[in-house]
This record gives sequence, C-alpha cells and structure tokens, in this order.
Amino acid sequence: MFFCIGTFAAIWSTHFSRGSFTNMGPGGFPLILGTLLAVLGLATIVVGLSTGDTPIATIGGKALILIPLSIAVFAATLERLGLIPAIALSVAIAGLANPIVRFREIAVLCVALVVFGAAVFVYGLALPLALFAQR
Amino acid sequence: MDALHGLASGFSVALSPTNVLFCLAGALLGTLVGVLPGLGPITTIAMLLPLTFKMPTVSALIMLSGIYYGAHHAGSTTAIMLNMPGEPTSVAICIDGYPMANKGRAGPALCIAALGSFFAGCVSVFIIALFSPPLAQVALNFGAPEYAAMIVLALIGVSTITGSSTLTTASTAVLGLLLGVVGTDLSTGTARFTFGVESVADGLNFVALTVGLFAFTQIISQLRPKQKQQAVPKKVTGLLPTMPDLRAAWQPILRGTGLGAILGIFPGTGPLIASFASYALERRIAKDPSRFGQGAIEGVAGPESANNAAALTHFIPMLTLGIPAGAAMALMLAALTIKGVTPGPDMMSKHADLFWGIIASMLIGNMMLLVLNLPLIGIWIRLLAVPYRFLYPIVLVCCCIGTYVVSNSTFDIYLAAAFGLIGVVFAMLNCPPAPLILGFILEPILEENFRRALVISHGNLSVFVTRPISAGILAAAVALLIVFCAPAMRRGALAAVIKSA
Repeated sequence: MFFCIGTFAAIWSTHFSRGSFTNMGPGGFPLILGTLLAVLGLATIVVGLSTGDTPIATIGGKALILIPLSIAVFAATLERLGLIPAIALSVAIAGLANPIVRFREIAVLCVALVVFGAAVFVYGLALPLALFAQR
Repeated sequence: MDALHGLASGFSVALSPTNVLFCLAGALLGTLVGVLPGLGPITTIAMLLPLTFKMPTVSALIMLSGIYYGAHHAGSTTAIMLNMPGEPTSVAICIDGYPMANKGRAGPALCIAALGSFFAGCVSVFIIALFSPPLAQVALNFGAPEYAAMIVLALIGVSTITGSSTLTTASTAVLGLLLGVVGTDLSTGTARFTFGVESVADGLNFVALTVGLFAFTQIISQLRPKQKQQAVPKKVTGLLPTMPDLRAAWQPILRGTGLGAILGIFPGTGPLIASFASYALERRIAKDPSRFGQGAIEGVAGPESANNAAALTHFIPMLTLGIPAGAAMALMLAALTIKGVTPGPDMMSKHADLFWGIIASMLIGNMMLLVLNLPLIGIWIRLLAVPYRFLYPIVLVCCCIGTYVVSNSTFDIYLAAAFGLIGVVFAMLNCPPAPLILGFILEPILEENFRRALVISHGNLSVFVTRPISAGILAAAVALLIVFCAPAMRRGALAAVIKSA
C-alpha cells in the first residue's frame, strides 16, 4: 500500500519540479501541466491515505526482467549483427521467460521466426533491414 | 442526397480489387486478434502501423479499421464459447452468452451475436455517413479556443468514464500530455525535456510508446505462472436460432444499436460502456429479469449490437474533428498523420475519396465479417488451442521490427522496452494506459490551439468562456467532472452498470 503511494509521490513530484523549472514561452504550457499533475498526485495521496488500503496486483516474476532484456538485446544486435541474429537471440531469451521452458520448442520457434521475419519484412515488404550486418 | 452520393463514390473506391483485398485482410486479422485473448486491436494496429507506410493511404486505413471493428466483432465468440472475453468490450456478452453455450445453445447465441453485430454495423455506417457532413460544417467554424475546449472535453471524458478512479485516470492523461511535450517546441524551436538526447528531438515515437504500453506490458503480464488450463470449447451444434429466439432478439438488437451509436460518439464512453449500458437496459426492461445470467438471448443480442455500433460511431469525432475518442482512434489518427493527411473538418472536401472510401469499406467489411464469423466459427475456435508460448515471441519480434522501421532507430526499441516496464507499473497501480496515449497524441493540437487562442485574445484567458461554442463545450466538460466526481453519483452511474452485470 505504501509502496503504491510512494511511487505516486515520486512520479508526480519529479514532474512538478521539471514543470516549474522551465521558463515561460516554450515552458509555459508544460508548467501548467506539471502543476496540474502535481495537484492530481497530491489529491491521489490524500485519497489514498484516507481510504487506507490500496490493493496492488503483483505482476511479473522472471518475465519482468527477461522480456525487456530480450527487447533490448534485439535493439542492440539489430544494427550491429543484422536481423537474423537479432531475431534468434531475442526469441531465445524471450522463450526463457515462459513459466514452462521447453528448449526444443524455443529452438523451433527461433528458426521459424527467422525465416518468417526474413521472408515477410525483408523480401515481402522490402524494408531496409540487413539479414546480416556487413562490416 | 449528399450522404448517399458520397457513399456511392466511396464504394467506387472501396470496391477496387486491392482495397477489397485489404479490407478482407483487415477483417481476417481483426477476427484473429479478437478471438485470441492477450492480443488486442490496439496492439495489432500499433504493430502493423509501420507496415502501412508503403501502402496507399486509403488501403492502409481500410485495413486498419477492418482490424479494429473485426476485433470487436469477434471478441464475443470466445465470450460465448469459453466464458473468456477476447476483448474487454465483450465482458458483458459472457454473462448470458456462456450460460447459453452451457445449455447447448452456443450456435444460436453466436448467430444472434453475429446478426446483431452486422445490423448494428450497417446502421452505424449510415449514421456516420449522415451525421459527419453536418458535424464537419459546424466544426469548420471552430476557432482555436473551440478546439482547445473540445480536447479538454475529450480528455475529461476519458478520465471520468474509463477506469476505476477518476483521479488516477486523470493523472495518466496529464502524464500523457506531458510526454507529448517532449521534443522541439513548434513555435519557437526550443528543445524541451530532451535531456540532450538527439533521438527525441522530434518527440517521443508514438509507435514505440503504444507498442511498449500495450504489447510489451501485455506479454509480461500474461507470462505469469498459469493457474489452470483453459476450458475445452464446447461443440457447436445447430447454428440457426429458432423463431422465438429471433422474436426475443430483434428488439434488444434495435435498442442496443441505438444506445451504442449514441454512446460511441462521445469521447471516452465507447464500446465498453455501451455494451454494459445495453445489458443493464435489457435487464431493467425485461419482463422476467431473473432469466438474465441464466442464458437470456436478450443479454447477448443487446450488448453485442451496442458494442459494434459504438465501435463504429467512435470514428465520427476522429474523422470530422480530428480528435480521437479513444486509444485505437488515436492510432488511426497517427496513421493518417504519417501519411500527410490531417483529419478534421476539411477532410471531407480535401480527401473526399479517402473519407467516403473508409466509410464504404466499413459496410463491406461488416458483410465479410458476417461470412467469416458464422460458417468458419469452428476454425476460429480451434485457433484458441494455440498456446500463448508460441504466440508471444511472434508478437515480440513483429513489434520490435515494427518499432524500428518507423524511423530506423534502435533508440525507439529501447524506448518501447522502457514503456513496457512503465506499463507494468501502471497495471500494478490499476491505471489504464489508454488515457496516456490519448493525452500524448492530443498534446500538440491542444498546446497549439491553446497558445493561438491566447495570442488572438492578447493573453486574456476569458476567451475560452466568452465565445459561445467554446463556453458550451467547457460547460459540458465541467458537468461531466461534477457528475463523476460526486462519489454518490459515480457509484450510481458506472458501478451500477458494472455491478448489475
């Protein structure tokens, strides 16, 4: 419960300081928004404190780390290594995020998606993507 | 008549072989994502948005709208068969649809749902055709203050009606507005909130934001350890409804269509509220309310029609004013903007073929959906057997590639990943992400009009309340706020609708 309120306070207060930090002119509008958000955040905290219990649903587990990781790996490898390694690596990591890890299925998925990705995006839609980066 | 003439010219656009093909592709894809839980129309449109860059504008929009209404159409299938709404908008269908399936009457339920959808779809298309031109005429007189007021109304509408708490949804909407500020200031060229990162000089990438908040968040939250395996779908025997079924259903279909069409036009309400409102209405006026929840066919016919009618009339504010009424419409707006078309009152004259083409394609698409949904129902049901562990890597890869090709920037992929995490935090805090997307896309329009209005009035804020139209719109916004912020009223209005379900 306090985690929830704390997060709210943090998010809103940073926005408040950012909002009031900018000058008028281009900063005028963000200032209005920042103030508005701060007020709303404050109200949220007040309401949260007065009502007491705030249920927090827990989400995630290992997927919380592995999915963003696999996306980041895709981003990191796409331009350096090319589309095929990027797909293969990210699918492999993403596959581990499933509660039940089956290595044979992940391997099949990797191959299938590499073929699919190459066929659809590179040959089919002619997007400017390199299968393997030339360097 | 103007509207009929427009529709006729629209058909000549929509009936070209390529456009029919794209319409079919959209309807098919929409049905697919509508049936598959954990894959919604918003995710799909965001994913496919970059792929439409090379398509002609009309075809792209025809396909994207096909996905949108196709998903709304098909969400009821899983609701009836598995008690599992494919889309959130189908939750109301579960209540009576699943009991019907349990009684071995899945066929009639599906059939009535499809017929109701089809009818609602056709009526709504005509409503769009009839009401858009006059509405656009009115909107042509809109100045900067009116536009700013309209956007405020849209945002307040979304904040008050969607989600559980007005405060949190309003906060996410404002946060969305703030995110929209990031980038170069339009009138002065000053970089704002970029923190020296060059990649965000043009603003945060909209596709990255949406893909992150919807697709990636969805994947992460779907991948928690499963409680149990899903129920085995029941066999569909006998598709055709009986005469008493039809007699019981036609009135709810009419009422649902009317209710949905009206609620769909307003920002924020949309299909979800429309289907619940229709369910509540049917239950209230039924002779024997106790049948509801036990498999009353009215409880399927009404909400399903309302759902589809609202999904289609949701297009009206976007097409005539350039102000999207929901997250999916914000994506359509983005698709149009990327193509260099600014939706708004003058779209009908400047891009007449596009405007009427889209509307005509909706009619064609609805016919396709009727065919797709009824005889092929078995195939869609079988698709449910595809485990999620095969599905999510495909979505993941498509999203990554889609995000990248928007501006060939790997930064956008990192950004999407970050927003995926933010989305998870949002989900934990029970904040809906849709208002954020809406705020984000509306920020430039709002700020521009807000500042322009102040320039015209020499910095006098009273310009917003002295001009009659703008004052009226703002009054409506304030009224909405009061109605929904008064706790008793809020419980009375929305909670009653959802509770009764």
